[in-house]
Amino acid sequence: MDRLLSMWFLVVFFLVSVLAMRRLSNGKDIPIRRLQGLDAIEEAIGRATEMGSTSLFIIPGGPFDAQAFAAFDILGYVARETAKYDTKLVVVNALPEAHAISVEVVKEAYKSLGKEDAFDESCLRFLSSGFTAGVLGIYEREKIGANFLFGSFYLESLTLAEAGHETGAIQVSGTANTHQLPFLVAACDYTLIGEEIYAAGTYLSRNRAQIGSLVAQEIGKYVGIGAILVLSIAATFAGS
Amino acid sequence: MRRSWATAVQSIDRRVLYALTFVIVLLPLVRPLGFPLNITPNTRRAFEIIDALPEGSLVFHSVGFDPSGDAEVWPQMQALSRHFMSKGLRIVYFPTNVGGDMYAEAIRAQLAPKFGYEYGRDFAILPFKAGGAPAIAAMADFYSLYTVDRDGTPLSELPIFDGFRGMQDVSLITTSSTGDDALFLAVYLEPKFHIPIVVGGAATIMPVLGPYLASGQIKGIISGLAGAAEYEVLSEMPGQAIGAMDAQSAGHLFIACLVILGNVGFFAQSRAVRRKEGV
Amino acid sequence: MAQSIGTFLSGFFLITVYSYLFKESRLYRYTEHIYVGFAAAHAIVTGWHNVKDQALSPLADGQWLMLVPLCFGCLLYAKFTKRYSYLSRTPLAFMMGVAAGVTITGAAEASFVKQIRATILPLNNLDNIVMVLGTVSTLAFFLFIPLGSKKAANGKRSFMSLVSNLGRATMMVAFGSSFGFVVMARLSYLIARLQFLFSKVFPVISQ
Repeated sequence: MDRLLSMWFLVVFFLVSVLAMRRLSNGKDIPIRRLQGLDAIEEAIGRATEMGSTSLFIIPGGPFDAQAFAAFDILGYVARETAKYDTKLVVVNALPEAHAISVEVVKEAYKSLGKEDAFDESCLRFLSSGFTAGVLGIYEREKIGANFLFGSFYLESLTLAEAGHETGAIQVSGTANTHQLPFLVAACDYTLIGEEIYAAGTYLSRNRAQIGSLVAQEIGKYVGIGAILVLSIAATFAGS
Repeated sequence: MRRSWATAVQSIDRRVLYALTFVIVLLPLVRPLGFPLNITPNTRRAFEIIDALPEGSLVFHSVGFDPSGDAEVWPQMQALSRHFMSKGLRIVYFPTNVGGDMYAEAIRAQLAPKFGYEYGRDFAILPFKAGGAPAIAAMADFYSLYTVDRDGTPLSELPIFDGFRGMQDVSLITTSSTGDDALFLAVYLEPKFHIPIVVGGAATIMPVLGPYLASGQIKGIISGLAGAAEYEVLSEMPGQAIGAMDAQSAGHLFIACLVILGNVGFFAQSRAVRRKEGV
Repeated sequence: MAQSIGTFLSGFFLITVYSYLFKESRLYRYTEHIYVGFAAAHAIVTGWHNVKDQALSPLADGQWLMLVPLCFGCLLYAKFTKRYSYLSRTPLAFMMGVAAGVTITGAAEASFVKQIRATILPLNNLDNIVMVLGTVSTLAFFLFIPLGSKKAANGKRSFMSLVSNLGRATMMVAFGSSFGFVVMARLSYLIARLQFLFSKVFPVISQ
């Protein structure tokens, strides 16, 4: 029964995504609300620029999954903003494949503003197992004005966010790993909670496939809300 | 006067706090205080599920941690392994963290001889497989993922795998993990094979698993060092976790006091500011 | 002898790392660099063992299919040449595909259908009411496409925004409880280190 329901869920999800993408192809827009976290990113980069300090973007070493890709979209946005204001951007990756993509993303952002010469690949660093200790070292050595932490965090989240807070930088973070959200919420100035990280990525990239799947997710949520409410009320009366 | 007090409690030098935490945690380690230990329903349920398994049942145990997380999870793994061995269960350890196999090896060297457990017949250690979720999902087709044990011995030469067709023959899966092993097992293996899953892991990961426990996809949870101590009490086999519980309780009390003090200071300060502004 | 040197070094590095809590010092920096160096070396060794155990050894045993992942792995290194760097995109695309595929399998059933089923509860006690309202309001918090709500557009509080605020509050309560678990976890780490330091390096605690 559950398997059948899951299959139908996937079929409907797929169809809705395709329909939404077709709608976008026909020139019709699907609005996505702008998240406050994106304004916080702008504010943080503005502050780092004023102070003449560095913006740091951290992508942790969790699984190479959808969160990493949402982080790349946000990284692209951060890189465009830092390139615009000529602010130094340092990117730290814990996964080799994420590092390779980050280099492309940042290079592309600089290229889009015609500032290819300003792109410095040595500012994109790959740290393997000593990731947390390495980032703490960067906190100590670089003057960090804006600290961005996006992706799949595990137990390093509190160490990085707490030590980042000590540097006095404005911190904006985001993860869908619910077990790490409390620490990011407590130690950062703004946190994109759970699915907000995907929505932010979609908002920034305006990628048709991503918007299509966001529409399908929205419908899934409405179905979930409706099913829980209606069936819970039904269960209450059936019980009494 | 009140304002200065309120400000002071909110701005205690963090080095003072670190030093006090250090002393408060150390003292009960040197001289135990005898705090009571309550058994939580989650740990009790986990214990009862394992305790109800008949002798000879096959248990798969994931080892998903390395030295950075062993303070919490290693005592759990020892407590679980002692219980498995005292009940005569057959155990297959499968490391899901690159550092995990050394802990399975430690069980082989230190614990197995005490219970007369013979490698290959009563327990086995599989090699580490990289990949996280895909690796756990691939366990559904067991022999396509594993053909040899950690030492490179073909599984067909180990008596524990005699007649073993795949995950459908497993009676229980348990974990000792600081990562998402439990989540991956609940998502990829439980729906296919309906194997009961009992989770042992870092305390931080536990709130995430609550919904899976409520839905029955996970049957029991042993949470952090406290969970390990509870398990040691239930299985009547004391280990290193019980010895640390007084220090843990003292530390909790101290931090709870700091949280209360900080909040009292915060509200007192806010009130004083409002008064001053005549609001 | 080797063990006592190892214990002494562990204790020494432990103290230098904890010295960071007081002040960042040169000793802490040395330890940090040594650790990063060791970790990198460890990663290289384990990486090599992964390739050897999972691809090279099976290949030597005649599993020719292992050539495919090996070639894909080698293509990743094409990134370091300007001329052929585009080749590294193929294995990356493959990894993305696998990640997406694996996530979809099972996720719909385990994380959606079964979770909804577990939240359908009779509203006859406080626990169930909190559970249902908390879940629904948290879901409402994560709605990103506005449904033509004029009130919301005008900055007025719509019903949905109230529900969404309730969801946010529910999450904050959950985060608070989660934070408690983390305090517990971090104390466990401290206790384990102190047990090591004062039973092995400076034997004060009997084990």
